[in-house]
Amino acid sequence: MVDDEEHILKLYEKEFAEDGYQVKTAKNAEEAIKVAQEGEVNLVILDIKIEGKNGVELLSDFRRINRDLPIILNSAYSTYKNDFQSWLADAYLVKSSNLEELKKTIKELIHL
Amino acid sequence: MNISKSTRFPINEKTGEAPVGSVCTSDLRKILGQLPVGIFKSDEEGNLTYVNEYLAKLLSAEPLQKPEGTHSLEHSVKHLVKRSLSTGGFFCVEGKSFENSQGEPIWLTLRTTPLKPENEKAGNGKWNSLAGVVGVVEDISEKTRLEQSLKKKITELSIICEVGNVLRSTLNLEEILEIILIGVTARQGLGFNRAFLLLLNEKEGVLEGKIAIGPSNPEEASRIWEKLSTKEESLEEVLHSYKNALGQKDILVNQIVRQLRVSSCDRNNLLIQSMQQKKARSVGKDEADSEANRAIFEILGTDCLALVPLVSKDRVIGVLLADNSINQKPIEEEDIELMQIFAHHASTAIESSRLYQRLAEQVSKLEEANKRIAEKTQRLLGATRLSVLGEITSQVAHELRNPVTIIGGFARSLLKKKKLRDSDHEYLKIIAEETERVEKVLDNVLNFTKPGKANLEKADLGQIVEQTLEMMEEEIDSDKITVMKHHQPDQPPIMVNPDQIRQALLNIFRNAIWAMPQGGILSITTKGENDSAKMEIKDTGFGIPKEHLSGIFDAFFTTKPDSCGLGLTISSEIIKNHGGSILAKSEKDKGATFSVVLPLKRNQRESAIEPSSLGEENERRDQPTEPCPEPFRAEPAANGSSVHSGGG
Repeated sequence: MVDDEEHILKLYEKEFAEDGYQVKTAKNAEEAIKVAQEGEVNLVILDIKIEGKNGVELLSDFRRINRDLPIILNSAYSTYKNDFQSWLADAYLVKSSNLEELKKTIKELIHL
Repeated sequence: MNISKSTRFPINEKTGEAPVGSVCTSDLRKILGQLPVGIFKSDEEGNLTYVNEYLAKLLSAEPLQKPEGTHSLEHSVKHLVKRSLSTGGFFCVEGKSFENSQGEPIWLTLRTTPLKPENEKAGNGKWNSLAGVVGVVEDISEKTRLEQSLKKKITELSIICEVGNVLRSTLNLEEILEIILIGVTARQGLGFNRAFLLLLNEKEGVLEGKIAIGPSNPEEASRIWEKLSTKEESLEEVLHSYKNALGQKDILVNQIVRQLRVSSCDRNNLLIQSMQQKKARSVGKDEADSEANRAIFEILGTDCLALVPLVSKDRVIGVLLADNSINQKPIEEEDIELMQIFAHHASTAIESSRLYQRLAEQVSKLEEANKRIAEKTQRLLGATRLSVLGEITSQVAHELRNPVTIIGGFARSLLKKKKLRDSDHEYLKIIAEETERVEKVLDNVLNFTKPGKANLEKADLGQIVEQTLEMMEEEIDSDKITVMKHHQPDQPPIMVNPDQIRQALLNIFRNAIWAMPQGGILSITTKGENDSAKMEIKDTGFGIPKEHLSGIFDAFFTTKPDSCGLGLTISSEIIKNHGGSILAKSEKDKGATFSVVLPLKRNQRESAIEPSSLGEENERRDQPTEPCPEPFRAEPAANGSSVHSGGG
């Protein structure tokens, strides 16, 4: 879970933990790469506007590390949908207080 | 000759006469005979007793024109002699015209003086009887001719001058052409019976008849001329008074002149020849060497034509024709000369008028361009304002998204707990619902952007309307609202982004329904017309007050308590981006009508708009604007159907 908003991380961590997921959080690109390299990640939820690096660029980095890693772009912006680099992601969801769609997508991607 | 005492011919002091004795009678006769003036003497009865040789030759002269009451020179001389005898006075007739033996005109001045009787002294300067009369006849032909030619030149000059003055008073081509024709035909001008004007149409390469003046027949001619002869007007007055009176385009001569249409390449045509040679001349019907040239005379109904090319700065612009077909007066060389000078002025005036017209056209084009630039500047300014506003709004909305997500997310998360008190559960539910509402507003704000160019597809407007209404099924209370639809069958498809059009219609429909809280009729009509699809959305609601009408398409304009004022703005933006237009008409308490026009093809951006029909009703029309600058385009709609605005 990569986001520079601490409270978002806290919300997602709580929600997904309750659903039985183990959540690792990263506040910036550097931390995120580090977690990914440890190799214990099954899915990434990636914010786009994060410290240090644009999420879309980070997406490419993740893909280089693990081509098959499912990645969901989750942003307050819908604009990046039109950025062809974002097409590398498995899903693109605009942030919402209603996490149902996000949860549904995660389920679909992990149990593929 | 003044003879004084100091000369070699002393004067007789008694009589005051020069001594005749020094010249003998035969010498005197010789001298008199050789003098270049006519000299005669009569007896007391008035019989001519002496006529010198010069006069003898002249006496055979006849009067130049022989209307009744004119006589021969001899008769004139005798008549004058008698008058001198009877009155004892001095008489003079100046510049009387006669014809000499060769048939040439001559002008003579006749003078007579009574001869006093010998040995009689006058009492009070009068004599009881006279011895006779002596007289002199002087040939003043040369002087007269010079005078006449001078007069003619003055007349010509004044014609040219007067026509020039009037021509300078206008730049209107029609008026100039009329002045030229009047100048050619007026009695005070060139005095032709009829005149025709042909101008070169350079675009089409033809010389074409433009305008003509003149009577249709001798009866009409005499009627007009009689009427004119009673007025004593100068040429300038005539020109001014008739300047605008030639509007009758259907008079016969105008019908005639318009039959003349000659290709400027037709080198055998005498009109074209005259233009090419830039030479004025008179041509008789018998000189016409081809069928086409004879046809010119046939069309004009004349036997002889004065033909003068109109040349301005070496450029031939047309031909001026004139004839005397009514009174058959022959066309003289000097008529042609005068007409040529006249034509020169006419050409200059025509050319000036054309230059002026071209200038006026250019000026009006410039004015038009300026107007367009001003309009575009206004639109751009508007677009820039909106774009800056949009940019700020978009930033704010994004900034709000995260905290709203967090607040709502935690509220929802807490709501799942089972151990909550009822009131806490209710409060958390309120937080979750209200955040959801804020999120919808944010969606709306973030979607208020220029939709991208992409995803145009063939669609049926009627079908889009149906789909939109289906989406609104839950919102439309069928007990209160009656939806009436009329879709013209076999409408041509439109090229649109159906998602966006649905979104646009959704907002308009919602607005209409909102305006009918007590219920009413929503009628939707679609039809194809020429190059566009047209749609009318009419409600029976409380209408839009006049003062609000101008703002309904503006961003953040709203009169609804729970609306962010973007619904109709989005609708109008979408429609404009499709090259269409939207128009709202309304009167308070009489409902509102929205008219939407969408071009069938995408490239008809501007032409799809109908001319405004501002009537008594209030209306607000939104037309396509210039594409917005980049910052404003940065937020294309994520998903057209995801807008859930409260409308308007």
